[in-house]
Amino acid sequence: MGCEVTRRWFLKALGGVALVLGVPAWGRPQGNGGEGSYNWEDFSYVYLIDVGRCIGCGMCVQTCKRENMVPDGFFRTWIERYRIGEGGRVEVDSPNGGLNGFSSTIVDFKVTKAFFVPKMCNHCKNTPCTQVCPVGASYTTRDGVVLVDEKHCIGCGYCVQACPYGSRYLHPVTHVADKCTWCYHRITKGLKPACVTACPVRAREFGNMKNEQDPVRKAIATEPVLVLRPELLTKPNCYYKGLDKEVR
Amino acid sequence: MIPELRLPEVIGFAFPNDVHITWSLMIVLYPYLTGIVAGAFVISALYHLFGRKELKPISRFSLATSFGFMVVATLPLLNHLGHPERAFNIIFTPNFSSAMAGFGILYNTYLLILLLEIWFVWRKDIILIARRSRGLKRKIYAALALWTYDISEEALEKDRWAIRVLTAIGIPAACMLHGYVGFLFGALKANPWWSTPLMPIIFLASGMTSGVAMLIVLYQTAMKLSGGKIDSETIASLNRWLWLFMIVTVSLELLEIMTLAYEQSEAWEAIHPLLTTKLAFSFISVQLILGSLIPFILLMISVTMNRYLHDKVRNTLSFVSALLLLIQVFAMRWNVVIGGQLLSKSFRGFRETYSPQLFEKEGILAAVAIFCLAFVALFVFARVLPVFRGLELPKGEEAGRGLR
Amino acid sequence: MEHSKHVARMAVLVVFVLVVFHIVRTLFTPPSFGKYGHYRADNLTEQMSKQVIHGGSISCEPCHGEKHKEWADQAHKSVECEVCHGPIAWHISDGGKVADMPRSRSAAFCLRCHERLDGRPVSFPQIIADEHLRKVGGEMGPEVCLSCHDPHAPALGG
Repeated sequence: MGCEVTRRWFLKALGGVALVLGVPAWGRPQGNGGEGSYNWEDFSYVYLIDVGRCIGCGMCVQTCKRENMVPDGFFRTWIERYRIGEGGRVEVDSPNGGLNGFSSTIVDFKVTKAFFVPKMCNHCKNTPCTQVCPVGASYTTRDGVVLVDEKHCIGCGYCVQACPYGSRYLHPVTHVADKCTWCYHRITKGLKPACVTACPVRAREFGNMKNEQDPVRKAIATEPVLVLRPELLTKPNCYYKGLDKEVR
Repeated sequence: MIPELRLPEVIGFAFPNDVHITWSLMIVLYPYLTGIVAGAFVISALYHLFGRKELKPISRFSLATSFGFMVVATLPLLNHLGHPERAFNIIFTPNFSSAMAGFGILYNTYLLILLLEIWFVWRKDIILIARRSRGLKRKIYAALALWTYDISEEALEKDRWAIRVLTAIGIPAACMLHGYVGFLFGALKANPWWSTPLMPIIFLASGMTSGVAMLIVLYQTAMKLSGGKIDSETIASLNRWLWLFMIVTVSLELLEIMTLAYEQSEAWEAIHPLLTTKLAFSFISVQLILGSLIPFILLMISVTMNRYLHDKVRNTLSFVSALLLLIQVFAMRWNVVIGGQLLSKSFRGFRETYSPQLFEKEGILAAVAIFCLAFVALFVFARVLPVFRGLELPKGEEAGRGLR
Repeated sequence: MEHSKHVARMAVLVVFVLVVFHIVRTLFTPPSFGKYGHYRADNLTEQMSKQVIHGGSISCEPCHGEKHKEWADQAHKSVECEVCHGPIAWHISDGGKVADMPRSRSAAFCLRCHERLDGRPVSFPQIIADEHLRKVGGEMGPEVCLSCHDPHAPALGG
């Protein structure tokens, strides 16, 4: 009785513990990249928006909603209309995200410039959203797309708070985080995202930075482009041509 | 089937997804509860580790209070999660770049330390109760004692050593359990109302405030109800600590706003109207005037004129200040969590308001129920183990090692 | 060490709990987790296999070849069929027709793109409905645009 038995028993227990802790090493899966016939190593996606071309028809918003079953009142992509006038007056609106287009509402100042800005998830290189996901449900693929695993997400909403662009939301039916996926189910089959296909004026373009002949890659390399909130250093993969200083 | 959407009023322009409030009353309640947990533990630590004798009368009670609130602390979170059945993902696959993933480790570590400390503090009482009981009650208490019955002076000395060690680790654990929430908000660059390095310290200081305030309220209530005497030295000490913590809290909160107002960067254009219109009542009236200024004055009187005060006066000043500060800390949590979501990331607009409904899943009734449950937990604890004076070995009974 | 039995016993209990937790964790972590990064690799396949709803105008061609040929050569060739007529998945499923293809005839629908609005590039064809009708001589009505314009070949004149 007493201390000696305790010590011996304890050491035995420690040995057992060491054995059990080895279990995870046996169970860890091995990775080798690539999924079937699509090889994500060949792609690094990028999106280019030309503000000067957008007519604010909202067909992109409508098409995205249909393609991805986006619930009412929530948006994976949306259009903002800016009307800027003398004296620094700015009027911004986005009626139902631009889903049904825009109408000519009156503003009480003389408009000197106006434009439409399509917005969506920027699929940042330095994502603030995947950084804060507590369970690893939000992640970036090797081809540069930020996705949410709806079977693993616990619906805490931290990523929604962390996105500076307001591109995320909690899905009211599935109760998990949701956002634009650049139509991953389409682009991995060689199609373009639904919004890009729908745009009648080529305001939205989609490209692959790993393809030397890619026109989007060329445009970004040779023409002045901007990103939203550059000071936050999220390093978006959505580039804008013709962005005004009033756009956040 | 998509539930009917109640689209809120928006003033100005808000990003279309921004109009939905993601973090509700539950997320206001959660840091409120963990703040009390941390504050109560620190008061207990002031006796158990730093030997502040005047706090001995409530040293056990504060541990029990910390436990009571700790037990219910996860409930608001589970209620809020979209998939509470997957809540364990936070400890199965934690993503450590996320402050929220820290919750799993911090909560369980602190819970472990608290449970261990409770066991060592009350071990003697558990064994004495086991000795005096018969039947099932005896078996339960014997199991709680882990079937060892040594309450000799040497064994109790080992217990005191263990308590000191656990308290020493427990203080940073409790502080991190509450501080990480501050970091969770403070490290988010997307929201200018939340983003500040001061946030973890503000949360911690206000957590301490709410913990001490809750102890004052509960201690006085418990003594009133049981006919016990309110120890004047204890209350005087708690007043001093409450005054200190609240001064630190309010100074930091004001400092943050003064810095924003002075720097006048982009965020201030949105935060200034937020404070003066949307949050005018909850911030200026409740948090600053009712919740900070008045208790500051009451406590100043109570602390500086402590010698001249009649017990009844001191107790009343203390109780009233404590109640007001409990409201202040809740208002602060509200203003941070809800205020930060009223303002859109477009910096051009606000959501009209957020009014939790009475019978909503994350509504008022749920919050009140969870809060009351903490008191129920504390009450149950007090029925199982004595929370004020510990049990004494009767004359003639041996400390020994047996159950007998 | 004499009076430490209770300490040792508690220590063993704590270690036991930690070990059990570790085992449970290993059992409940999804199998493909961590393969390519801190996420469930199986989700990639799940995302890739979601149903494609819009096939693009090329998917309309097999059944609507005539119209497709006409459209592809005219001013609305940059407007995808599915933008006005709805996605193919609503119309065709498993190789067979499941619903009629919507046809939007209303003036409101045409004006959605072609109403003159601040912000639309000036080079884009846009009108103020009343002015346009006055100029060309017509009465406002629900489908008035179609009385002159064929949506698949909308441009009039040379």
